[in-house]
Amino acid sequence: MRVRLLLLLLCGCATPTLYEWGNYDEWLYENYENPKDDEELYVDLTALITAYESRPNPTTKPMAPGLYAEYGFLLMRRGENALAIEAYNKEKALWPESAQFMDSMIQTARIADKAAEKRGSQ
Amino acid sequence: MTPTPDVHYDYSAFRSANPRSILIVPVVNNSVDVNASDYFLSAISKPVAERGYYVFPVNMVKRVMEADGLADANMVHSADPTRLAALFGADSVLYVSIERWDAQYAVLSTSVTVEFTYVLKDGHTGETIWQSAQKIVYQPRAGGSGNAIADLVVAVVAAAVTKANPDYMPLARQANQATVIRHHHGLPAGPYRPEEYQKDMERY
Repeated sequence: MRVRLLLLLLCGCATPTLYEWGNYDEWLYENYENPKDDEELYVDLTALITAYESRPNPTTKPMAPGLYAEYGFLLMRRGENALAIEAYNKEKALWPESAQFMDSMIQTARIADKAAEKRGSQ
Repeated sequence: MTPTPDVHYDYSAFRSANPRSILIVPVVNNSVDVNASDYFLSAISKPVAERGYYVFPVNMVKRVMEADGLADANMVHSADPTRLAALFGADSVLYVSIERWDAQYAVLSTSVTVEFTYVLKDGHTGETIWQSAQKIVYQPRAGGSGNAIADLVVAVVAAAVTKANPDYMPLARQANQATVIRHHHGLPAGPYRPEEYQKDMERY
C-alpha cells in the first residue's frame, strides 16, 4: 500500500502540468511560515511573470489560474494600483470565470488610486 | 486475478451542477497544529486546478475574506454556500477540514499523519456535489523494500519528515493529489481538460 502511494507520488511528479506555476505552492508555504509583508512572494511572482511575458514561444502553457490575481493583490497592497488593475485584467482575460471577482477588485483598486491621488495633491 | 471491485462514487449531482470554477475557502483546523490550515492552503490549488477547473487565488481569497470579517474558518464553513459563491462569482465552493496533522515520536521511528475531509458544494443551490476523505500515515522504516525506486522516494520523504520539525508538506500534497485523481472517487476532469471533460464517466 505504501509503495503504491509513493509510486503515485512519483508519477505525479512526472506528469506534465497544464499550467505555468513557478513554485507557487512553496512560495505560499514560505510566506505563511515567515510572513514578512509578502516581500518574498512579491519578488518570486515578479520574476515568474516577467519571465513568462518575455518567453520566446507564446504558445507554451498559460499562466496558472489565480497567479495574476495574487500578483495584482500584492501590487495593490504596495500602493501600485495601476499595475494591480493591469494584473487583474490579465487574470480576467485568461480566465473568464474570474471576471466578477476581478471587476470588484479593479473597482477597489480604482478607489484606492483616487484616494492616493487626492492625498498626493494636498 | 480480478481487481478488487471499487465502490463507485455517485456523481449525478456533480454532473448536473457541472462546475467550471472552484472557490477554496479557509480551512477548518481540528488538528493540534495551529499553523496547519495556512500551510494546507499552499498545497491545494495546483492539484485541483490541474484537474481542469478555474481555482480562485487561495491566498488572495483568504485575505479578502479576512478584510470583510470572514476570518473565522468555522464560521465560513457554516455560512450559506450560495452567498459565499455569489461574492466571488464562483460555481462551487470547496470546504476542507484538517483532522490530523501531527507526528508521533517513538524510540526507533517517528510516524507522521495527515488526514483531511473535502466537501464540494454547488454555488447556485448549496447542495453537496462531491466529497472525499484522505488519511496518510508516513512511517520511515529501517531497511529497504527491495524496490530501488520506492526506496529512493522513501529516502527523500524520510529526510523531510525526520528533522526535528517534520515537514508535512510532501504528505499534504500527496494526499490532495491522490484525492482528486482517485478513480471512482476523485474529481472528474473539468472544462480545461477538454479531451476528458464529460468523457470520463467510466472512471468518475
